[in-house]
Amino acid sequence: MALVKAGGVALCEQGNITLMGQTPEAAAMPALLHWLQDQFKEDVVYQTSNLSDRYAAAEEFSGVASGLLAIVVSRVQQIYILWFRPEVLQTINWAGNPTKPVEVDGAGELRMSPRKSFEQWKETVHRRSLPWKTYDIEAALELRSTVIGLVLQKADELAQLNTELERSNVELDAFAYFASHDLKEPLRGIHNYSSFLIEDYGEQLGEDGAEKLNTLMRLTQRMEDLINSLLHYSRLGRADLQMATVNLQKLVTGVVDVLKISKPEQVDFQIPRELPVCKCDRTLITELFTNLISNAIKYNSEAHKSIEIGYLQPAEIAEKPPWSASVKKPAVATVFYVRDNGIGIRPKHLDTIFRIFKRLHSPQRFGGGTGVGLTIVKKIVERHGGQIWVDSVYGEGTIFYFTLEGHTHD
Amino acid sequence: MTEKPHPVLLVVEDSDEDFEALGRIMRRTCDIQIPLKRCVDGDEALDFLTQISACGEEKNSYLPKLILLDLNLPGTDGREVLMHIKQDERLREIPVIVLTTSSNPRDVHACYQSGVNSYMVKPTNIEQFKALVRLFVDYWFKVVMLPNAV
Repeated sequence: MALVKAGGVALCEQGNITLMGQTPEAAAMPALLHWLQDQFKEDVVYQTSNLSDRYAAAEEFSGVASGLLAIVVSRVQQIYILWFRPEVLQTINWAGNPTKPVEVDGAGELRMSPRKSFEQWKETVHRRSLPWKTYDIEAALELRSTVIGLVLQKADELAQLNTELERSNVELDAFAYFASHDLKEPLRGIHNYSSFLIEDYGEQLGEDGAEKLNTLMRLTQRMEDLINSLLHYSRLGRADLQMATVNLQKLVTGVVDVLKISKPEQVDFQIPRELPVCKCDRTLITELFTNLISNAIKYNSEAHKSIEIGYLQPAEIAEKPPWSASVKKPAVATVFYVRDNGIGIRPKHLDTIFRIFKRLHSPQRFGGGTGVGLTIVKKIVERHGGQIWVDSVYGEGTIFYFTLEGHTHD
Repeated sequence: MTEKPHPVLLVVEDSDEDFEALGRIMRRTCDIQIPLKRCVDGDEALDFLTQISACGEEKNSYLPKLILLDLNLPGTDGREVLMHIKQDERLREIPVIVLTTSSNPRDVHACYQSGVNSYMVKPTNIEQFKALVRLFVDYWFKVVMLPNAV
């Protein structure tokens, strides 16, 4: 404020407005900013000592803001700094002091203000502030270049952080990969030697001893399944996407056909309308639908299992948004869903279902599994720039919604 | 034939347990017995191979007929050993079979690019491993004509 001898200042960054000192009310700021954005034209600075003349709404706050000096720090990020000067009628109170008003000019010399008759002045200064001098504007511009320097420095730091983050992500993936491999070797040793024990000393061990070793071998197999899931998951994060134009109707029909062969249960599959064509990685999206649909079959105790695969168009989304408050509204037009009439998920578990190795049921129920299916589904959606969320009524059924960025209607 | 048989199969394997399991299954379940030579890492394998091949023509019969290679080895790893063998004029005709824990598509791709003759993944399940060893021995020592180094 002191920099340009202003009564108040407003810092504006993409709609976030911070007010200091004597300024218009916060409620008046958005409209003022909106108007101001068009005033800069090609310039980065805008100034007036008679705001209400240019911007009628300013009459309301001419007391604190008859003068406006504003600079653009970044048009793209909508960062502005605004300084306000009060109406001079108010400043004249102290101008009437025995000490005459003095100001420091550019050369640093003291200068007397022109003394005019009070009556005359009152006429001309109505809704006007002290004019912004060249050095005020220069100071503002100087501040602007300092701020821009800082912003650039921050951007540099961010870019560097990003590189760091990328590197540590790559390292983490490589770590998961090698760790998994090195875990497998001793595991294989335990498995093989247990079997050798049974082969060589089976008689001494007796039936009970052999049974315990068999359990040990079963557990090593389970451990290997878990490690394989982890490997698969870490590979998903690293492999490049093979983007292609994919007919989802054909893809999903194919997935359903394969599942019908491998799962003999009676399931009623519905695709209410033909699924669109989409830009995506065919292999990954096949895995996504396979996982979601086989989950829908697996976690279902109904005699008549019913699964619906479909999508919502913008108009339907607008009418009845399929997301709850916890989901950030997706930016893409199409929302896909897989709906079942299965066992449902209790609300308290909804947050954890995508977590790796998280299972809601004991291994003996619903055919077991490693607890990695939904984690992989989520990863696939995220790798396509989309979002996934779930809506479920316990005992009635579950709907998984997801979006895929880059989706196009053809 | 009183002479001690030359090793026919070179096994490059750092894990004692994996080598023991392989040897045991080959002894117990295979109807032909293949003389084995084991190297515990890549450097030992390369030294062994280059020493024989450096002795010249008459010693070439001492070269193994087949190499079973692990990929993740201490020091010079299996990928490098494979590249070295396939770039060496005298060694490159020996079939190399990779037997590894890695099912990474990148490893599979890189090995075939380097000229590996077969790529097998070590199963954790012992029954699967027995079947793999039997098939491997039957295929490479009964079905296939191996290059004649003599």
